[in-house]
Amino acid sequence: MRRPSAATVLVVLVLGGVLAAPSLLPPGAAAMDPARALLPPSAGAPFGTDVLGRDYLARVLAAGRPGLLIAAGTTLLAALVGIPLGVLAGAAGGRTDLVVMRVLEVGFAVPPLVLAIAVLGVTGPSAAALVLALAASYAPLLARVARAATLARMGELYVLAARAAGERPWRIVALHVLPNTAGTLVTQTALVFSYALLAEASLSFLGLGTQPANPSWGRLLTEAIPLTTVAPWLGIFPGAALVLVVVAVNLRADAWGDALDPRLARGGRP
Amino acid sequence: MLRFLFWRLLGAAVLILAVSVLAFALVRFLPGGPAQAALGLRASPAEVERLNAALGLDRPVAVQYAEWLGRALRLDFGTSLSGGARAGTPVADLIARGLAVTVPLALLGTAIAVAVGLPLGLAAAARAGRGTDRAVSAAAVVALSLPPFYLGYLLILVFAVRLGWLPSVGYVSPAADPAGFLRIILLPALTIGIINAAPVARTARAAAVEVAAGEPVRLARLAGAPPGVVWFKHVLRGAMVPVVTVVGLQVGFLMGGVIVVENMFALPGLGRQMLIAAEQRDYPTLQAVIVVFAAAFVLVNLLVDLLYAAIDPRIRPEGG
Amino acid sequence: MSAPPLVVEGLEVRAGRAGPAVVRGVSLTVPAGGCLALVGESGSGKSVTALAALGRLPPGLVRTGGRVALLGRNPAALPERALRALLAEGTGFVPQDPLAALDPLHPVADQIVAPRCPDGWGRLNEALSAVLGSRRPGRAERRRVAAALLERMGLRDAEARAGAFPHAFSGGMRQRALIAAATRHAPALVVADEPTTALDAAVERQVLTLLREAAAEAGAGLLLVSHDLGLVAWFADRVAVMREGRIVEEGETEAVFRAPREAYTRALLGASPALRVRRVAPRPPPGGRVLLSVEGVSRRYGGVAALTGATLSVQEGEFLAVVGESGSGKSTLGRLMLGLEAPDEGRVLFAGEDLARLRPAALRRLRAEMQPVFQDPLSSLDPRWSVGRSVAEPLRVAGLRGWPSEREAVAALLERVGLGGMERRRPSELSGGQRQRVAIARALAPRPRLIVADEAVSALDVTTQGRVMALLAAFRREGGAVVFVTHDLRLAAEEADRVAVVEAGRIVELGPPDAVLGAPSHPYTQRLVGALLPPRFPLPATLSEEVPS
Repeated sequence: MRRPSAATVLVVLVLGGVLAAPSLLPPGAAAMDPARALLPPSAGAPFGTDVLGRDYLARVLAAGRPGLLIAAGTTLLAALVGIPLGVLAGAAGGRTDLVVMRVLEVGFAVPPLVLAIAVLGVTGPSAAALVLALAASYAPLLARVARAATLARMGELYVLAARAAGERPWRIVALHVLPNTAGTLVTQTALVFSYALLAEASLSFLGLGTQPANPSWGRLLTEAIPLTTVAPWLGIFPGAALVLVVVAVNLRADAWGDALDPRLARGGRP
Repeated sequence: MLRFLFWRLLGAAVLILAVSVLAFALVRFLPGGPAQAALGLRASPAEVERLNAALGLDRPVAVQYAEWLGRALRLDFGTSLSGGARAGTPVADLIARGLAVTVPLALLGTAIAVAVGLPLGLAAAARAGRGTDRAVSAAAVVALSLPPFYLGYLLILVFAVRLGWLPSVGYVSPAADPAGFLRIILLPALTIGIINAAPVARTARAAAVEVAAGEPVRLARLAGAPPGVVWFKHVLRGAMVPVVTVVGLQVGFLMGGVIVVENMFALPGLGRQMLIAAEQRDYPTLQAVIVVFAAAFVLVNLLVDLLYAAIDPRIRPEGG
Repeated sequence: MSAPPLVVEGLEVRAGRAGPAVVRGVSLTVPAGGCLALVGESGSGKSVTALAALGRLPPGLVRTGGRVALLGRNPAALPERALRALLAEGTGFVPQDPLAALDPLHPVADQIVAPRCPDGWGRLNEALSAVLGSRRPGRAERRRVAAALLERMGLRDAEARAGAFPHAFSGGMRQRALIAAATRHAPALVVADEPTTALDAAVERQVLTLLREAAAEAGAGLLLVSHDLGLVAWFADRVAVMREGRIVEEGETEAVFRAPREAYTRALLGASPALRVRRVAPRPPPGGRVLLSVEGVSRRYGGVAALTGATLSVQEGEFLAVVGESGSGKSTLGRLMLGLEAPDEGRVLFAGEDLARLRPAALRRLRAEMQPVFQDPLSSLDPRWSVGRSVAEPLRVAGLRGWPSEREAVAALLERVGLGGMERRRPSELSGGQRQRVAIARALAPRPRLIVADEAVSALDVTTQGRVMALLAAFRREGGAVVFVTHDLRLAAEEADRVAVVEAGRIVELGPPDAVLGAPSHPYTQRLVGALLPPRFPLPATLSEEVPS
């Protein structure tokens, strides 16, 4: 793997900054001051103030962490469950593959938001339930990608040659299949992270995710809607923050995967 | 061909059935339990037990499911447990009302996505590596990163608040006032359409670039075919297959968008019904809505497969 | 005599304005109504020359010098519109891979009768095919015309075939359709770029004959680009030999073949199996014990029988060739011999052990005794592994097998295949021939008793083929057995002690090469042998005594 590029470093810094923000903010940042409610952006308050007079910049910065944590948890869980399943299905083939694929199809048939709303509708707003519900929807996606990538490698002649040399199946997977699929998997996992960010934001917007006490960016928008005509900045800034993070991850996802791919293998002489 | 159709329909039916089992299990086994949840946390154990018995929740799960399935096949999904105006309404009615809004909205959104995404993707491919291509790719990344509620918010700000061209709230039924209905769903459909145009544009671009680099196009150019013919006959037709595929794959994503915009624009579609049911712990409705959404997804994909076979002769079953 | 349709003088083509030259100072003339063959190995620049002549160089290549007169005009100087008209009316092109060249989404009729210079309405009609497919107006007419064309090209059921899609055609049929498309408008020049390389040997001759006739009928000059000297001898009036971008030798076919002046030409002639008349001196038959035995083996994939009732044996130190066309089941036989798949019926015995009955651990131990070499050098080596690591892989699994250390083993093996010192290279840095030699080094590593080579030399140039074959012959001399799966009957006959011929999953003939080639008993073998083009001209006396090294 080569050294990370400047863009990647930037993205990591931004994400880290957002995660750390709530702990870094000065204590007075969240102070309420009803006299200064709903002020438009100015030098003193770059993002303006909200309905309770709080500095909105501080509020938006603090709202990044809940969403990022939930998305990270979802992605991790989805990858830990989905990728091994997909690799297993692709490498084992036959009946195992068939069974796994059928199960995954059921997972695919229910759109992620639908499943999440249904689950949260039964359990009530709960971060754990949210993570589980979303992970249940994204794990099949990662499994499918992992399976396809594994199948592609298993069909290569160097795998056949390794079998002919007497190599054990699990070692073939570990030594030949996984290193060559790592790039695709990294890209897809990064994309799942961006999907999870958006899903969490939508669910919070609908009132089922984070609650007013510890809002994520999506939740901030719920509160901004009734005040659209009066204070549009309440909606513009948190949304923009979310879009920026998601765009950053999307733009780098391909590059991160490419960094792991056998670059030298592409474009070789025939 | 008919045999192909038969098997696919059977597969779809089995899948929908499996989803219904999942929905059923979900609602029964999650913490909170249906009756508990419907009554709220302050209900006494005795009240919960009484509701349990009344709803038949104390019987074996398999029996409950069999009963539910039997009724569901007759399109009877039980009655809503929501409070207020919806109490006691047959779930089937709620769903029917919801579909009347959601289906047109989803169709219009998809139509906008393809109408915007396909030409943009092809244009980007035609000028691959140059300005247009980069602009389209950048726009696609941004569009994909926009949460539907944010784009909707921005569109409302611009078109409803500042320009006053389109309403942001208010609902008229399509039967009563078709033109008014269209105005109502235009902004939400635009929101969904713009976001979903991105994967369409990307796929169209990638497919077009691949076909343009392929042998049939090279041969056509060597034979002196005019570029217009090459693009339409080979590139466009070649790009259609992956585009149709991606539209099918994105239906789940699209539905998420539909749910969000319905709630934000206060449209009484299936998404709004679902959210109300979630807030009210109305489990019969939740169950039914999951199955309906899943059924829609499965059927759309079946349609996509058929469309596939219509375009690509290699896919057709023998004799088709 | 009419003017030659193509005259090239001092052509220079570079990869980029200031990049390395791919074609240097090439001059040639295609005689009107005659055929000029442009011959060379991969990388010689022959295809690039042909494309430059048509003004359609691929992106990245630029014509930087020389003159081209295509039907008297310079294609590089023409505006795009005029060039299109020139190509559409005056030239025809026959590509190498007919499967890839036909768009799978349109019926064959729509691709061979597409109007070459459509007017406004014609263009709109063609464009409609994007959405309507073949259902656009004029369907019946197109089919009629296409059917007539296909029939002239020798296709039966032309009516039905015209409306069919490319995937329903065989390779030979597709190429006939493409030849029809390239000649029906009576062009002055037809360019054929390796038109038979992707086809089976049995079909090559027919397709080329058809091409020559169609061109002659149209009064066109034919520029035939090829690497196959044997074929070229029969079909070309003049031959130009290219090497590394330059023309090395040029002249009338008979003169070049009977009396080649340049060393490279002589090397090329000597390396072509099609032209070698004499055999390597007959070897004493191995007469050893049976090493591998295949008894009544059958294998099915889905509902299709790939192999049925195959029975043969391989003796220690024997070179057995398994010959068949694509899809005949010969590769399946190879994989079954290696125990990579289990037969549905019958058994495979190696040194007396039934491979299907062995426990996995025992089977893995046995694997060290039999190693494969596959066809595709690109995919037979892990792109992330260094060459040394790939070669050492069998040793990591089976133990050192007598080598003092892994490092020494790798060094010795690479030395032996002529790639000494390349342990750290990656496959992407090597050529196809070099990769194939790495694959052989890997196969030799565990000191096996048997090597199964599945089309190991098919993707290689003739000169490289010789080196790889030499390595296999050396292995055999040291006592190893070789099962050589190939579609090339002549190549098989050169080295083999026995030849097995496979047709549609059955072994139809088995015997020593002289018998199989000289007096084939089975009709299929007779057809295969009959399709082989005998050398048209005897090799010059000095060459025929040389044995390929």
